[in-house]
Amino acid sequence: MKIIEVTGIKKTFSLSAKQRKINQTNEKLKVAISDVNFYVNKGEIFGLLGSNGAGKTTTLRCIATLIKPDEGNILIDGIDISNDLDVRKKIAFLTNELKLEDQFTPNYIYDYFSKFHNLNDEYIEKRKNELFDKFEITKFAETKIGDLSTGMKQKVSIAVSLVHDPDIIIFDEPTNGLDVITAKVVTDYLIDMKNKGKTIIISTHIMSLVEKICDRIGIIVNGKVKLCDTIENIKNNSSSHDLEEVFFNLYKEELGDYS
Amino acid sequence: MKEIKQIIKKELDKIFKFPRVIFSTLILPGLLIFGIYSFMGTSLKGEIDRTTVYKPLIIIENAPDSFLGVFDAFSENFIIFNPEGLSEEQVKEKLVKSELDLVVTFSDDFEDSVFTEDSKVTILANNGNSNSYSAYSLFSEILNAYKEIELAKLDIKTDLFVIDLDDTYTDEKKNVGMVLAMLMPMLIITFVFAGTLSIGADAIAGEKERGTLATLLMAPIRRNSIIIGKIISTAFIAIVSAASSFVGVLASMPFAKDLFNINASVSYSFVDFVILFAVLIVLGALSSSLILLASTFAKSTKEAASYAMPIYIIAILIPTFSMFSSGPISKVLYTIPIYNISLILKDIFSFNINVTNFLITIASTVVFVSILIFVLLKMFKSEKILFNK
Repeated sequence: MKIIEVTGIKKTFSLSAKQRKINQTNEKLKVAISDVNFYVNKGEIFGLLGSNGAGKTTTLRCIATLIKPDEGNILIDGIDISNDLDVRKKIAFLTNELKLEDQFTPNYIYDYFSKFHNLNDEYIEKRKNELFDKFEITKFAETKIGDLSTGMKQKVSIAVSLVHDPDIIIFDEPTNGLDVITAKVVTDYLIDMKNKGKTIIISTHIMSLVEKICDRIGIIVNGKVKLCDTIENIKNNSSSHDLEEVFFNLYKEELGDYS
Repeated sequence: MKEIKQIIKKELDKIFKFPRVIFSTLILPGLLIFGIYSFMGTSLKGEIDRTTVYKPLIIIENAPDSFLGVFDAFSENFIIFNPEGLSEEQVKEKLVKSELDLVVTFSDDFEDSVFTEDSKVTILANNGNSNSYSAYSLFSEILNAYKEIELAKLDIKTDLFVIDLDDTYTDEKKNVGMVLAMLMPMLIITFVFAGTLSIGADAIAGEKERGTLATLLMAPIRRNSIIIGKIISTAFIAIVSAASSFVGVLASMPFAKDLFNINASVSYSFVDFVILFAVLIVLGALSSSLILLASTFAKSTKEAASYAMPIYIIAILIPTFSMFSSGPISKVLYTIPIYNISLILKDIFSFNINVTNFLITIASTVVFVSILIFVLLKMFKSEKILFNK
């Protein structure tokens, strides 16, 4: 059963003079993604693969209602993303770009964001204990966010985003910048969530992570989804049986080189 | 409404949960104002006292007996220096070095040559020395008195008419009110805008810069609630900060009476305070909407502060136009944002409050703030503005 349906989305950004200089272009607009189509089944982990700047984050930001696509439709559990408040109640969106305020403690931040979900105090407290135990936040729950390490901050961000126990978890580069131990905690948690029937969509360029946890993947090249299937089918339909090689071959085919 | 309350609570917690921030945002402005005004007032009083007590050192040469007769009555205010043995150059050098304050020389045969070009009083003074300047002022008055006495002796009437001022009808309350009306609008508007600037510039641009705004935008809340919550909390903190500065001014009054030229106490009615409170609320809303506009447009706190600074400067300049306005004021002027608040504050402090003018001021400011909020909401829905890095 499809729980996320992305149909023909396109997103264009205008480039500032500074950005045009950096990108060495005179074009005032940049097409970040175009005609992106894919779906995610309920209860699966879907991986969106691509190089830096391919359009993974833009696609996830559109699904998470943080930005609006210029064209196309996105349905989240049957709800169009134009109903952003309803969609946000169903999803958790995590990215390294989303930060928490340094001067507050994990306890304060958790309570603050949980109040926006119209949950009762008893549930909020119970869920907090559960998540804080799971991610071992309790021992630094009263330490200011600014004094925490990157891994600790990431754990708090995850806990805060999961306060409402959402059915869909969207995770942009989940293990990016994390140490090995914290990365394993996060990966194990995603598998655990999948086992509990949650739907997870992640973006990454780490092939080992994809092969380990994803059921289906979409490879995005230059703003377009070029391949979308189960890992097994992709390998079977390719001359190479190595996912990394499939990925590189596709890039070479589309762009002529790896740049 | 619940969402707005949550936003307000967190924004206030950013200040009230941290003693260091409470001190720097709410207490320090009041302490600084108290310190500055007390120091200025005490210094001014000291200068006045010193000038009153100080006896200038002067040389009077060739003075006619008729003048000495008049001067005698004032002689205790001066110390007469005897220049015997000093050359003219040495005397001038002493004047330059402030070792001497004044040299007065009457021309030869002064009394005999009155009404001719030959009668002349030459005064050497050093204007860079305040004692010399005061000595000159006092001595000029003595010379004028002497002139009038001499004219009277010749039976010449010196005044065309006599001015008889009877000030027993002065309303002391309104008199003090007039002084406060000159002072308070500028102080209040400056304090509120300064308070807003200190926190408003960071309120949105800072969150953008630190990446915390995107986290907030992902919560299931309306963007309108975020803006309204930010405006209310910023306005509240700005008003509290302004109140702190205001307390600083009041506390410095006993030391700064000469500075503010207030020598009597005055009290305002409960209604005056209610009106003042209402004006403060719309002023807070206006200042926070304006500063948040700059903050929303900017990419960083530093950039927001640079956009907000011209707004602040214009806002504190506007009351200076109303400070010296007199006579009947057109009702249209009560519709001009900030200027109208400055006028109505002047009316409150001078006990000339007019309900219609007050209502026009509140209504026009509310309309202006609504327009600003509408623009802010539009900006808050623009991805280009919210995610511009």
